[in-house]
Order: sequence, then structure tokens, then C-alpha cells
Amino acid sequence: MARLDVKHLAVSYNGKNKILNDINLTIEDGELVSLLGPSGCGKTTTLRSIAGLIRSNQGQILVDGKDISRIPVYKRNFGMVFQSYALFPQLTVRENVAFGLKNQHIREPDLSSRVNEMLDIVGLLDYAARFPSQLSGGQQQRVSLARSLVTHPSLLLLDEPLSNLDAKLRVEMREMIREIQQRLKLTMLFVTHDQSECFAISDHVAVMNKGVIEQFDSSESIYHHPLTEFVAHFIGYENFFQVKKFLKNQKYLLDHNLEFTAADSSPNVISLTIRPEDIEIIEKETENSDNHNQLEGKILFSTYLGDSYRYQIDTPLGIVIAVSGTDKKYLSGQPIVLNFPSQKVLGLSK
Amino acid sequence: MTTNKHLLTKIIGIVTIVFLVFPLILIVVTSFGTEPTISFPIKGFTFAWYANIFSQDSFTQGFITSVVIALLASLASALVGLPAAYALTRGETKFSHFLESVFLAPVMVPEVVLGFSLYSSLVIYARFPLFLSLLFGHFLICMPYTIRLLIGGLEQFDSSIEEASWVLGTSRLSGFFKMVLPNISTSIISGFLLSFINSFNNIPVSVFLSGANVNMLPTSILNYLQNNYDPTVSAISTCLMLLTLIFMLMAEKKLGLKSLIN
Ligand SMILES: Nc1ncnc2c1ncn2[C@@H]1O[C@H](COP(=O)(O)OP(=O)(O)OP(=O)(O)O)[C@@H](O)[C@H]1O
Ligand SMILES: [Mg+2]
Repeated sequence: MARLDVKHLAVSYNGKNKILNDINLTIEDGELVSLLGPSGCGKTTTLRSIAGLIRSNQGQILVDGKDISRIPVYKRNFGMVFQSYALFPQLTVRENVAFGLKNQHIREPDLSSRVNEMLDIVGLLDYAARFPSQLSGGQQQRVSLARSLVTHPSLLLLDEPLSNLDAKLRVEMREMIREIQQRLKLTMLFVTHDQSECFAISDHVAVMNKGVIEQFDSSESIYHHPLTEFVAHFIGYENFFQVKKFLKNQKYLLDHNLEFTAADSSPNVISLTIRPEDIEIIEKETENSDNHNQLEGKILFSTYLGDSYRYQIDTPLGIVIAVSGTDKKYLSGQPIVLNFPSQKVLGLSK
Repeated sequence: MTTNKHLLTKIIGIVTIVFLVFPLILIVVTSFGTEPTISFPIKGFTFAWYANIFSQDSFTQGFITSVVIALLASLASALVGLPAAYALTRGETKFSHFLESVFLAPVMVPEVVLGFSLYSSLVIYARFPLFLSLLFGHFLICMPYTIRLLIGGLEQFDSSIEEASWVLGTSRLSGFFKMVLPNISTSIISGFLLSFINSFNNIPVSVFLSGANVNMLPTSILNYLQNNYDPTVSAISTCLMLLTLIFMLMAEKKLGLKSLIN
């Protein structure tokens, strides 16, 4: 139950190359923020800096407005799920989960009831007497999650806490995390590189790339209005069209003298993007004369996604990916026309 | 080609075993001989030489001194080695590489040189008590093995386990005792055993640092051999082999021999 401010954080491991560069992040009291980014971009490093496990070169970390750089790790009352789980191998599952509570001088019968409740939530009550080495990877990960949640930390740092679970358990556990987080009003920073997971549970999302935060915004904003090509790419936009020139009033000139209208209007836009499911496929015969924001193309091949088909389409602007409903299936080689609704076409800057 | 290689490995193996084991068997056999000098084959069978071990004060005294010195030196090297190895594995890389070589340096110095320099500096110059000098010498012998094994153990140990305990409210010191120690206990025990064996078997350093009342078992045996060549030495060697065997079996059972060698 605390507000976290990270200001101008910079970290380098050996003094030379910077791993983190001017990281700025705010998590309001009781909010869940996700840190989304590709492998090696510095997510773990960010968490470890906040936890106080590595020293930063620059910047401040404030909890409720107070600089915590001088508070030793063990007095911070944070929680952390390590990417490697870091379970205590010499202790049983029950002792692992009870460890933090004992440090908080919680006594029986409170201790046992809280440990049991937590083990029940993560579905491991039957495994309480086992040692970590006797558990599967996913079970170990859930012990790690239970161990961090049970102490009700003022700030909980989760480093890919669901990475090793199967799809069903993953959804169950993320809903459990969200439920506990909202019930206890915990402040959480949640690292993931799974975009659907991140949108499902966060209030705000920070998208990270090569040691900088490219965009920090509400989940909805990130999803609907990515600002850079990297962010768009990372959250599922697949079609990118190079902009040759900004004309005026949301109009952009693309290759082959094609003119597209987009939702944004800015001379800084370097490319246009659209989600595959927002592209409309029109049969060639029903083509209307207005060919604005339209491209002619030929279906290359399709894959069946269950609730939709996914097409690769050859167009003058290169391969375009489009997803459309199952009511109509287009065949390979079929010529079609693609319509790009201008309010769904986004402009991206560098 | 492969069969040739196979044959070669077999021959090398057999030769090694013959050269390694045959002298040992010879010693065991001669220790039961009735002849007054060590000879093979033996003519009669007797336990007399084993009884003779205990009639020699220098052997019983030497054995006790050896055990005490080996225990104390191994213990001291573990006590100094633990914080040192911890600092080395968790510290800044450049400086810790340098320090690591300092701690491992005694292996590079020939033991005779080590013994002599300790003798001239500690015993002659500083007039240190002989027992303490001997102990210090053996501490230096044990140190590199202990440090090596402890560094190995600490590098194997996932440091985020320790960090997890800090995050959960454990201070650094208590985290060391609660998390680090229990998880590197194998390295600690094998370091201790290796130190003990090395100290117990050492001759070069012990020779220089022994005197009237301070004698290690190996030096006592050497002294005895200068005046006698009877099977008592075979008998005591057999006893030592037996002890070492028991020791190794214990270690093997508890840790597996592999961890002791690595
Ligand atoms: N102890 C270290 N010493 C030097 N460089 C390191 C160290 N730990 C991490 N790095 C480097 O810092 C960068 C960021 O690492 P980090 O572990 O924060 O990535 P991450 O975003 O968590 O990746 P992943 O999703 O794979 O866990 C990487 O390029 C990595 O090589
Ligand atoms: Mg990571």
C-alpha cells in the first residue's frame, strides 16, 4: 500500500554500457503496472534496482514520496517473485511460504491459517510438506507466488511469475493475482513479455525497449494508440507502411504514390499501421469506384485460427496480414481489395 | 582402430593398478611377517608389530599431534575461508580475481620452501612456540583447498535465494547463516575433509616445524625409519590406510566421492 515513483533511473553493470537509461515510472497506491518488453531489454534489472538488490548509477526511487535508497532491502517490506523462483531448497513448501511471516513475527494460529489459505489459493495445499526439488516447474512458480503474496507487501515486484504455467492455469493465476491485488489494494509491478497477459490485468502498461521506456500509458491507450513502431509491433500490429511525405490533414503519401488517410495528423509520422483484424477484405466484383484507403491484392495463403482466418495478401505495398471472420473464406490466388478504415490507421513516430 | 584404443586403455589401467595397489598389498602383507626386518614373502604370521606401535611413545604422541593439528588447521581454514570466499564471489570482479590468487598462492610455493621460510621467520626470528608455528604452517597448507571448494560451492549456489530471504525481511548476516551455509554444506564438509587429509599426510612443512615435544606422525615414522627397519612401519602404514579408507567411505556415503574431487 504505497505509491512508487522511479525518476531518471540509470544502471550499468560494469560502469561502461548502460543497461537502463533514464527510466521514469509512477505506480499509484493500489495500482498494478505491467512492464512489457522483449528479452534482455532490462525488465529484471529495473525490478532489482527498485528492490534494492543492485545499486543504480543515477536517479531516485521514491516510496510515498520518500527516497528509499538508504533503507536496507530487508526493511523495505517489499515482495518479489524472482524469475528463477529462488525457493529456499532446504525448506518445505510450507516453510517457504511461512518464512516472511515469521520474520514479521506473526504467531500461531495466525501463521498457519494464513499459510494454508495462501497454499489453497495457489492449489498446493496437498504439497505443503514437499521440498521444492520435488515439485514441477509450474508448482515451484506458484510456491514463489504464494510466498510473495502472503506477507501483504507494500510493493510487490513480480518477474514473469506465470511464465512456466500452462495456458489454463496462467489465466486462473493472473485472475487470482488481480483479485488479491484489488482486494488488498496492493501496489504491484508485473513483468511479462506476454501482451495478452499484460492487458488483462494492468491499470497501466510500460513498454520497454533496450533500457528505455518507449511508452507508459493506460492499457487502453497502449492497445489502441501505440506511439512508436516498436510498441505497435510488440503489441500485435503487423502491417507497417513507410510514409514518404506528410501531406496535410491526416493525409500521408506512401510508396507508388498511394495516398492514405490516418487517424493521426503529424509531420513526425514515419509509418502507418493497422491491426490485421481491422482491415476489411472486399471481393473484387463488388469493388466500388472510390479507391481511397484501398489496396488491390491477391491472397497468398490462409491459416485457420478457430474463430477467424488469417490471410497473407500480396499487395503493391508488400505482404499485408489480414484477419477476417469465418463466414467467408477466400481462396489462395483470389484477387481481392483491402479497405483500411481511416480511423483505424495509426501514425507512428520514431 | 577402436579395439586398439580399447586395448591400450586396458593395459594402462592394469599397469596403473599394479603399480598403485601392489606396493600397498606388499606393505599389508609384510606387516604380519615374523622376520625382524621387512621382507617378502613372509615366513610366519604375527600381530607383534601392531602391538609394538603402541609401545612407541613417539607414534602415539605423533598420532595425537597430527590429529589435533589437522583438526585445528582445517577448522581455522574453514573459519577464515568462509567469509573470504563469500567476499570473493560476491565482490567486484577485478579486485576479487587478484585476491583469489593471493589466497591460492600457497599451492604455488614448494612446500619445502614454505616449511623452511616459516621455520626461519616464525621459529628462529620471532621465537614463536613450535606448536603454533606448526599449526600456522598447516593452516597455510589447508587454506587453498578450502577456498577453492568454498568458491566452487558459492558459485553453484543461486544468489537470488539469498536475495529472496532479504526481501522477505532477513538481514544480510542472518541470511548468510539461514540460506548460504545450509546450501553450501557439501562444499564446507568436503573442504574440511580434503584439508584434514592434506594436513595429516604432509611431511615437508612438518619436518621443519617439529622438535622435541612436537612431532607429527609422518615425521615420527621418518625418525623411526632412520634407526629401525622392522615391520612396525608396515603395521602403522596399514593402520593409516585403514583409517583413510574408513574416512573416504564415510565421505563417499555422505557426499559422493565426486564432490570431494571436484
Ligand atoms: N550481472 C550482469 N552483468 C552484466 N550484464 C548483465 C547482468 N545481468 C543482466 N545483464 C544485461 O543487462 C541486460 C538486461 O538484462 P535483464 O535481465 O534486465 O533483461 P530482462 O528484460 O529481464 O530479460 P528477460 O526477459 O530475458 O528476463 C541484458 O542485456 C543482460 O545481458
Ligand atoms: Mg528478466
